Formats: sequence, structure tokens, C-alpha cells
Amino acid sequence: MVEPTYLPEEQKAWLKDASNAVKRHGFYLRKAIDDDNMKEALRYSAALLGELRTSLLSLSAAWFDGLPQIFFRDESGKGRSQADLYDLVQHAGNIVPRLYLLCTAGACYIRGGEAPAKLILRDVVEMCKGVQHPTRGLFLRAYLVQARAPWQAGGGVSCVGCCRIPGRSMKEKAKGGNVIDAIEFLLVNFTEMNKLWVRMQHQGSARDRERRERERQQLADLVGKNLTYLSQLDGLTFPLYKDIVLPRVLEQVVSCRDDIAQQYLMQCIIMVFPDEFHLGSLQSLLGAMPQLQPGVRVHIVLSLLMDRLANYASGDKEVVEEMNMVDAFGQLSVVALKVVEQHPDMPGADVAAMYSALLGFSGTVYPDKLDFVDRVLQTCHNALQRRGPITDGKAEKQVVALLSTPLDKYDAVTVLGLAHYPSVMELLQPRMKREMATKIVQTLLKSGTKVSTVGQDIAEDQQLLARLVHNMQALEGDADGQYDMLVATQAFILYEESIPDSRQEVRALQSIMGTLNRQVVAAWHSMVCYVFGGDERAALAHKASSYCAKLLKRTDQCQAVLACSHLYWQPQVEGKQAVQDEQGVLSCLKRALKIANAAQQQLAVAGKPARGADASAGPAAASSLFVEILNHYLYFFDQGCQLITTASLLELVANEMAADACKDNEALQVFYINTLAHIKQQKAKGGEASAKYDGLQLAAGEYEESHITKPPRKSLNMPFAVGQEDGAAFVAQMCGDGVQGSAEAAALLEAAGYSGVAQMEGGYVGYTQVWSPSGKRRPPAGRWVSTGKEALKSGLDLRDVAMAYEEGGNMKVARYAEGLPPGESL
Amino acid sequence: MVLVLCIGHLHLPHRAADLPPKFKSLLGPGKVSHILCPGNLCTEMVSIGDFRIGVCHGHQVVPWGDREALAVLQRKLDCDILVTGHTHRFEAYRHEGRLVISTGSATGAYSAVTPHPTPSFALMDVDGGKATVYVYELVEGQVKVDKLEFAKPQEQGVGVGTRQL
Amino acid sequence: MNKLFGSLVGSAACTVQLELRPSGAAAATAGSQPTVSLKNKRDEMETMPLFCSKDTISGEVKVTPIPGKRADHQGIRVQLLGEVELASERGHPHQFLSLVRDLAPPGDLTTQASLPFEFGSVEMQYESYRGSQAQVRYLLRVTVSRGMGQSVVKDHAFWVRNPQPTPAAGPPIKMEVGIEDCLHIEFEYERGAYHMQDTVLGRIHFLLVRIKLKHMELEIRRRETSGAGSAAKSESETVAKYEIMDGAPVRGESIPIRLSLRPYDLSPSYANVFNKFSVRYFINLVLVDEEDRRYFKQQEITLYRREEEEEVPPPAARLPRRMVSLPPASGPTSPSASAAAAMAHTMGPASFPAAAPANGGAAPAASPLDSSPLGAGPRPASQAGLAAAEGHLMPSGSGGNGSSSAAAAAAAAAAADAGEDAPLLAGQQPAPAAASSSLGDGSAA
Repeated sequence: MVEPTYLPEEQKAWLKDASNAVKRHGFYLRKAIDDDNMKEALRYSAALLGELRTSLLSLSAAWFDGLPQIFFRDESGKGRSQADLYDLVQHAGNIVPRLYLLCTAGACYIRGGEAPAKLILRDVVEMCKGVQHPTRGLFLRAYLVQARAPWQAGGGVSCVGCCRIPGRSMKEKAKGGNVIDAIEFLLVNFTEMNKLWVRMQHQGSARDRERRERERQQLADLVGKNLTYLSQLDGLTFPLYKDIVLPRVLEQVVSCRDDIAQQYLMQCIIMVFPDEFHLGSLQSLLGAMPQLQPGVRVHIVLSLLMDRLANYASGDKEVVEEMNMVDAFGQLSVVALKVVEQHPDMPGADVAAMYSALLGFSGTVYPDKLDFVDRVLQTCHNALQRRGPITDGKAEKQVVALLSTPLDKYDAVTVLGLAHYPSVMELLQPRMKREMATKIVQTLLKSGTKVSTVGQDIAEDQQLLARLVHNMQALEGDADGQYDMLVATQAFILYEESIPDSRQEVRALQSIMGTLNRQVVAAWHSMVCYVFGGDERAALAHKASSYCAKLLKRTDQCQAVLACSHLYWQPQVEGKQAVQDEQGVLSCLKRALKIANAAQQQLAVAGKPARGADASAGPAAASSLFVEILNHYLYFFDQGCQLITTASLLELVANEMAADACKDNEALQVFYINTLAHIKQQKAKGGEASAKYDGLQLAAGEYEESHITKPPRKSLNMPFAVGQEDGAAFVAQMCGDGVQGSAEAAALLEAAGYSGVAQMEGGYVGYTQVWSPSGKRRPPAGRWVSTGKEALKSGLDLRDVAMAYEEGGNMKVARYAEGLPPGESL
Repeated sequence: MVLVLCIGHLHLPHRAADLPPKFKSLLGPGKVSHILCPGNLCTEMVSIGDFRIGVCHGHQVVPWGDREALAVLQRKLDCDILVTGHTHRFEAYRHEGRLVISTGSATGAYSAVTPHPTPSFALMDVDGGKATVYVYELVEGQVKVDKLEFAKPQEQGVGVGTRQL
Repeated sequence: MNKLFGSLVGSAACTVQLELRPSGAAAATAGSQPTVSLKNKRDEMETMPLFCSKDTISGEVKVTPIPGKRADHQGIRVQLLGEVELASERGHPHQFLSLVRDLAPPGDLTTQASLPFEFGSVEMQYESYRGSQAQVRYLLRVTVSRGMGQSVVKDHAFWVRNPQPTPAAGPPIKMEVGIEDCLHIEFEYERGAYHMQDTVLGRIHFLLVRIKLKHMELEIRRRETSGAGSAAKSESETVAKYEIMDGAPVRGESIPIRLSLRPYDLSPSYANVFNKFSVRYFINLVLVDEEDRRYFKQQEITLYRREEEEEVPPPAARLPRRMVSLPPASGPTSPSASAAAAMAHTMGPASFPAAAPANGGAAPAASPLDSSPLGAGPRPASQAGLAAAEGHLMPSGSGGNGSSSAAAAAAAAAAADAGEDAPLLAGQQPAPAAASSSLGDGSAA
């Protein structure tokens, strides 16, 4: 809720505590009630409700569920006055529990019929003002309405409380309250709840805005319930609705000036109140629309209304009559126009959506009035035209939907004949025009309409269509090299300028590679010529490979470079001179190898021990790159690339595969085994191909774990130890743990005549935790952001972050990787 | 016995008006239990019968449609059957003891690789370790059906059997 | 020896019992002497007969010698005593009332003697009271005098309550207070005087809210002041806490107050008890912001004991006590327009130096009262500017006793101590002269 955000586990623990407390209090509460000890009962129910202060949602549900029933059952039967009870509950010191009790006691009070319902209602609704905390207030007031709901909804003529008590005199009834009081109560409560709801938006920091909005959407129902109950009041007549309810509700909606509230409430009004009310009060309802906030998607509201009215009218002549009387269509179009004018920055998609709803309305209500359709199209056209050409996909879709609506409702040919139909269509991009045209043709085909008399307009349309189709063909058929070059250049420009995130970058680059390569290959297929000359090809390949380096992830980089290698290689074909740049291929593969190496080191440094067989993280991911590279080597090897020798690579990969992280990775091992199997098969083929593989024989078959002796790293760059003079002959010496063996080794070395033997404290492990292989100091441990103080200053209060941080990164601890919490490494 | 439909990206309505009516009538509901569509998705693995089937759109595999390059992918995924698309050119072939199906395009939609493809799709009848691939092609307005049989190789020398996903 | 010792020092030669005869108006209706049950310091319930001033207190003393023994004495008497005892002078009560009835001349007792007594229409000006600083107690003391310090003395405590006529309603308490540009509220209590079963009605209007409030509560604070002049010493305790708002309001909100005094252990306000002490009550409005800073504004109220304490509920339907809260005003009244005396004050939390007089914690003399009507202290110019309106709100009871500046200063200091984290809300003491006062920061102490 609006409470500070807690980690889920914490919240769970809290909830558990709270619900235990609830159980405990509940037990004593029941006991006290059984003992008929009212004071104690109240004490425990207040304690119980006190839990509401901490964890609101789940507990208020518990309260809603059953407590009131056990709480005040039969109180009057025990000879206690409900009035006293009503007094008594107000002694509770904390306001939230107190008001829950008050609501409950108030409900019983009314039910008992001891006092006029309206007084009690007015009192409770007023007292609830004490809870200004938005969420708690909303739940409290929701409970207030709900506590009263059962007898209110089913409540005979005048609905409110005591009126249902049989045998009461008319006078008392009048005193007790009537439908007007019930309306008043619900309206006041609605207003207050909406205010609280809107206020939620302005609490907390701007960072949480989205979360808050989500939460608000979840709470919308609480506010809407008031309207639902209003609509369910038995005595709610149309005059009451028109003169009291609607104006008050609308006033609140408009004056709250909040997007979410207005959006929801307008829709809510339209949904909960009956159609005939809407029709009768159309003017007031529509009058509110242009006053809504710019962020409100009025078109959705309007569409909803129009859909409802259309539904209402369908098949009922009287209703249509009535709609004619109030000029529903006219009013709706005026409002639509106003909305469009008032929100000049309303997206085209929304405009189109609104107008297509209007078209739907007029199509249902006035199936024979084609001029209405034309009018709608005209205004829509005006509105859209001002917004410039329609380019974004959503708007296009909506315009297509708009144009399709009348096709379904009216005779398609007639619709096409409307003056403004083509003009709206003209707003579309050529591509979409084609789609729309297809749609029209489909409709025509579907309905089987024979186009017998071709009017001027249609002829034009068809010309347009034909031209368009022609256009498309021209586009497809054109395989001119220059054009391809253009496409490629464009693709690069697009790639540079408008790919928004790294994932898409990867995909886009893949596509570009594929296309470039395809143009090479496709040309070969069609036996035309090689599209790109050497220079162009080299330039493009170079460009592409330069993008590879810019990808975010090393694994992506590596794969991209591998793909890139194919740009230097065209498969040999008879009678053609294939461009086969062996150097280029090799350099790409070597680069891939380099990147994979770097990736592996990066992962080994940053990664926690690989969890399970997750190939996408941890060292195994990098090793999978090696296998992939090996496969590409083999590919080019098969293709006859002379520079490729895979033997050394095989050795390397075999080493990698034997590493611990990789042994556990089943998918990776399978990949490797499959690759070996491939080599075997190639070898088994016999002939020239297999002869090439002879050199690989040993490598493929016999590298097994036991033969792997090469350590992962042989040497490291190492900074001079402090106090060592330049040029001094010394050996920095370390071993696995840096304790016993190290000391012994140092002694041996010194005995052997080495001077300045330095033992590395912490041994190899300790050393590598402080120094990277390139001799740079690794960043210090800790989950620090920038500096602790800055983090605090910026208001960043991630739990424990600032606390965990120590200025300077706690180098001392980090140095030998001591003192880290269990399970954490650098 | 399980019927598996392998059908490519339809590109409706951007590049094609509709599925050819003859195909439409073939593809009535209720017959097919799995549909594999190598759309613009990332690479996925499924198990049907005894087969491990890899589904990959194919634009990631450079050079596009290249048999050897696809073989690399197949090795990587360790799949018995690889279903790809993207080229809009139907192909089904065995390669190193494994099956590769390029679905082609059921709508015959334009593709950068194959400007005028023959509309096609494949239906695979999987029965344990055996698969029969029926290839449906629309040649000059007539549906042409081809058949290809494929059995899971008993000994691949791989040592890793089917893995339930 | 033992025997001798026993007869010299040992247990009393006789036992004394005292029985009261019902008297007074209440007794007439009830048929027996009404009683009152109180918790004593050891948290035990204690029941005592209850009287009020002008009641006749009569009864019978029964003195019974130890069976088989003869008890000689030098006279038997009963005293009616009224005492004030201050905590600071424990064991040395001040008697303000002492009446004696001799019941028997010196002589011997062989059998039980019943000795009737009567104190007719005793004027018992002060009510019984047990506070933390002072108490007022009444007792009947029976003394069987014997020589050599062997007198038998037996005390019988009783309780006195004196209902008061309802004081004039007086104007409501209304005040506009605030911290410049931060928080501006107007509060309103329906009246200044309440009986002890009463309900306080009121409202808070938020005119300007620029701090994030967490909640708001009312406290009822009791202040006992003992001594007078420079020796005056005050101690405050909070006897009731009642949350009236949860969450942060926005400007324009108006929060209702309805606080029932019934559940709390209160006494009437005592202006001056035998020149020894006074008891006063305050309603303290406390606003707490999200950083747990407290802003408060204290208003004195007068509590009195109503004649008819127990109301008998009518058998049929009835409204609860004071059900509808103070109706919302048509709008917050502006200070100048308000007919009721309203005072504009400024509130000065620690973080608003402009509004806070530079009073160090070491110098309680520089505390809020410095900017009191007497004008003894410096007042920042900005406050003088803001302190626009004037008023002369004077709840009854505030002027009667010891409102010398020293006593008030001590009171203010005590208040500041109590609210440790307390930037103060506004003026402390409703002042007899027309002026505006501004309060500084209590948290510095």
C-alpha cells in the first residue's frame, strides 16, 4: 500500500505477526463477548483493529468478513442501549480502530431503530473525516458503505435503516430518513473517498509514480462502489438522478482534476446507471467531457457511452424516437468535436477511435442516414488532417478500423461513394492504403456485391489501388545493385539512429548480417553477378564488424563477429569467382576467440558460481562460445579455407570443457560431443574431405580429461611490491593458499640464491581477488552505489546500502577477501 | 501418433492477402495436436514423441538457409529435428543423421531470400521414434503432397537421450 | 516481663469501630450512605463513604475492651479533619478543618460502649483529591486517650465531592495558529468549561498545510501547581490521549473533534486549595509530522462537577451524547472578522529560526513567555508582522490563581520538558491583555 515499500519476505513476516495478533485478539474478543463483558470486548476489538494500522489490506478483509457479526450480535437483547454502545466505542484512543467500530456500531444502531438513521449516517460520515490517510481512509469509508449496504439495497421503499422496521409510524419514518438522505450520505462519502483517492497520487516521491498509479487502479473499485450503491437505491428516480445525483457526481469528477479518477469515474457513471437515465441527462453528461483533464482518454469514455446508447436503441423504435428528440447524434458529434479541439495533442489513434465509435453509434441508431456517416468522416478528416500525416502504427490501425466500421453497417459501394471517405483514406500512408484497399475488396468479395456502376470516385480509388500494387511490384522486382547498396546503407543508418535497446540491437544486427550475406549469396543463386564489388563489400563488412564491438554483452559481440566472418566468404560455385577473403575470415574468428576469452574472464570475475546448468550465465556461457567458435572454424575448414587450422583450437576447447563449471553444464557438453561427432563423420566420409581431417585425428578423439595438464593461466602481470627497488632481482611467489607452502617455497628460493623473494599474502586466491590479470586493482567489495553519503543525500534509501558502505571501499577487508559475509565474494 | 503441423510465418496481412483457400480447407481444426511455427521467435526446444525438436526462425543463422550453418545450430541444440523458416523456401533433408525442415511459407508471401515462393507447409506424423513428413505444396493451383520418412537414429554416439523439457 | 511489656506497649486495650448513619440528600434517596470506589496507590480498589459539603455527618463509635479486661482511659473523642498534604512535605499535612466531639469523659470501660456523635452541616469547602503533587483528604479520627502514649487512634477516611452550578457557557475557544508559510490552522472548541461526563466538541480547519503530517491528537493535561510566588512549582501529566486524525490533510480540510471525558480519571479544576495548590486542565492539540516533530497548542479548559451526575437514560430511543459534532463552520473565520476573540499566533518549530526566539535551553527564562504581553523578551520582527490579530481570550480559572509570570514560566518550562521533541505550537497562555504572543522552540532544552 502506501506504506513504505518493504521486501516481500519482510512483508510476509509482518503479515504473519499481524495475523497471529489478530487471532489472539480475536480469541479474547470472543471470550469477552461470551462472558458478556462489553468493555473488554471493545478493548480487544480495538486492539484487533489496531493491527489495521500496520498491514491494511489483508486484515481489513478479515474484519469485513465476520467480526461485526460476532461483535454486536444481540446487543439490544441484553438490555443495553445501542446508543450507549455507540458512545462506548468512541472511547477508543486510536482513530482508525475507533472509526471502524463506530461504523459497525452505527450500523447496528440504525438497525436497532433507536435513532433516526439520517442523523447517525451524517454523524458517521462526518467523523470519518478524521482519517486523512488515503488508503486507510478509503478502506474505512468503503467499509462504512458496505456495512450499510445489505439493508440499504434490499431496503423497501425508502431504503435507509429504520424504515424497514415494521409497525413504525409514518412520522418516525419521515424522521428516520428517506431516499434523499441515503443519496446525500452516499454522495458525501463518494466525494470524500474520491478526494482521498486522488490524494494518493501526490504522496511519496516521484520515483514511485508508476507503482502508485498501479495501486490506485486497484483501489478504483472502492470509490466506484458508492456509485454502484447509488444506482441500486430503490427510490432513485430519474428526477432525483438528474437534479441531485448527476450534478454532484460530475462536479466532483470535474473538480478533482485527476486523470485516473476522471477516466475511471466517467466510465463508472456510464456503466452503473441505466440507459434511460443517460439518454435523459445526455446534455449534462456530455457537458462534463470537454472539462476533463487533457490526459483523460475521452474517446474511451465517449465510445463507451455511444456503445451503450447504440445498444439501448437497437431494436427499440421508441428509444430511437427519443434519441431523435434530444438530438443524441448532434450532441455526441458536437462533444466529439469539442474534445478534439480542446486537446490538440490528442493522438491520432484516439481521434480515430472516438470517431469510429460515433460511426458505430450512428450506424446502429440511424441505419439509413448516410449523411451522418459522411458528416462524421468529414469532421474526423478535419481533426486528423490537422495532426499531420498518420505514421504511427496504432493510429493507422484505428483509421483502418474507422474506415471499416461503415463497411460492415452500410452498403459498401454506397459508403465508398461518400464524399469524405476517400479523403480520410488519403491520410493514410501508401502502405496502409494498400491494406485498406485490400480490406475494401475483401468486403466487396465477401458480400458478393457486384460493382456494376462504377462511379467516378471508385474509379479513382481503383486507379490508386492499381498504382499502389504496381508500386509494390516495382519495389520487389528491383534487384539493382545500387539499390541494394542503398538499402544496406539505409539499414546501417537506421541501426545507428533508431534502435532503442540492446536486445533489439542484437537482433537488428543479426538481420543486417543475414541480409548482406544473402545479397552475396542470392546474387550467386540467380547467376547474375556479384552485387558488391570488392571495395564495397569490404567497406560494408568492416562497418558491420565495427558495430559488433559496440554491442553491450560480450557473448552477443562474439556471436555477431562470428556472423560477420561469413561476409568475407562466399561459397565456391562453378564458373564464378567467389570472394573468399581468408584473412578476413580468420581475423574475425580470432577476434571472436579474443572476445570469448575476455568474456570468460569477465564472467569468472563477476559471476557467482554458476547455478545449476544455466548456460546463459557464468563461465559456462563463455565456454559455449568456444564451442561455437570451434564450429565456425570447422565450417570454414570444410569450405576449404586454407588458413584455418583447428588443431590448437580443439585443444583449447577440450581444456575449457574440462573445467568444473562446464562439466556440470549438460547442454554445453552435448554441444561439444555433437561437434566431435561431426568431426568423426567428416573423417569417415573418406576422400579428399576426410584427408583434411587426418591432422585432427588425435585432437578429436583423444583429448580427454586425464590429458589436460595445462593450467588455466600461467602468468599474470603483477605490480611491484611496495619497498622493492626497481630492477631488483626478485621473484614474486605465491601458491594456492599463501601460507605454509608459500613460506617453504620462499625459503627454498632464497636458499637457491634468489634475492627479494616476496610472498604474496593470501596466495593466488587472495592476490586475484585484489588484482585483475592485467595488474589493475579490482573495485572494492560492497554493494555501494556511489558513496554512502551521496546515497543518503540523494534520498536513496535502499535498505542497508548506505549502512553497508564504508568510505574508501573498505580496501583493507577487500584486500585479502576476509570479512565478507558468508556466500559473498568480490 | 501425433500430428505436428510445421507452418511458417504467414505474414498476414502485410505481405499476403490470405491463406490459399485450398490450404485453408486442409487445415481444419481438431486434427493437429502440435503446431510449430518458426515465427520471429527466439530459439525454442520441444519434445514430441521420442524426438527433440528445435524451432528457430533462422534469421540468426548466417548464412541464411546454409546447410552447414544450420548443422552447427542443430549440434548446439542437440535436436533430432530442426524446424526453421525465414527463407520461405521449402526444404526437408537429412543431414548427418538429423532432419532439417524449412517450412517455407504457407501463404507464399514475399521474402527477401525467395521473392516468389511456392506456398507450402509440412505435416509431421510422429509415432514414437519415427516421423513421417508430408509436404504440402501449392503448384499451379494444385496441392501436391510429398512424403519423407525419418527415424530417430538409434546410436548417434551422443550418449544423451531425449530430455523431457 | 513479657506480660508487662505486652501490657505496656502491646496491642490496644480496646477495639474501636465506627458506623455512619446515612445523611444528606443523596442518602435520603438511596436509603444508605453513597460510596465511592477508588484505586489507591497500590492499585487496589478502595471503597469509601461519600459526602458533600454541608452534609451532616453522624454515626456511632463503638469501643470494645478486650474481653475480660478493663480498659481505663482519659476520655474518648472523635475528630473530623480536613487536610492538605503536599508531596514535598510528606508527613506534614496542613489541616484546614478540625472539628471535635468529646464522646466520653475519662473513666473505665468494662463492656462495649456505643457513643453516638454528629457533626451538623459541616462546611467542607475542598473536594477530596489525590494527585501526584498534592492531596486533600477527610477523615474521622476516634481517639481513646490513654497515658504513656498508649492512646488508641483510629482513622476512618471518607470522600467529599462538591457539585458546582454550571458556569456560564462563555464564548467558544477559537484560535488561529501557525508557522509562517508552513502550517496554518484554526481550531475551535465549543466552550471553555466542561463537566466531567461531558464531551468536547470542536473542529480543526486546515488553512495551509505544507508539512507532511502523520497524525493529530488531543491530550488532556493536568497541571498541579504547589507553592506560590517564586517557590511555585508545577508538574504536568497527560491524563488522556485521543487520536483525532490519521494521515496528512490538505488545505481546506476540516476535521471534527469529539472527545468524551467520561473514561478518564479527571477532577474538577481547583483554582486554589487552601492556598497550597491548584489543579488546572488543558486541552493540548498535538500535530505530529512525518519526521516525528511535534507541534502543539495548549488551551486551558475548566472542568467542573455537575449537580446531577448520573443521567438516567430514557427507556425508549434516544440519541447518544452530543452525537453530531460541531457543525462545520461556513468557512474558517478570519481573525479580524471573528466576533469571538481569536488570537493569531505563530508557531515556531526548531527548524524555523525566523519564528523562533533565540532561546537557549539553559535559560528557561527566555522561554515562550518572554514574548508574552508583558513584552519582557525580544520578539523577532517577522512575528510581529505576522501576529496580526488581537484577542483577549480568558477562560475562567486562568486568572484566579498564581498566574504570576514566574508560575507561568515554570509551567511553560515544564511543558517544554514534557514535549521533548517539541517545537511548540503558538502561544502558551491566553493573556488577559490584548496582545499576540509567539512561542519558540521547546526542543532546544
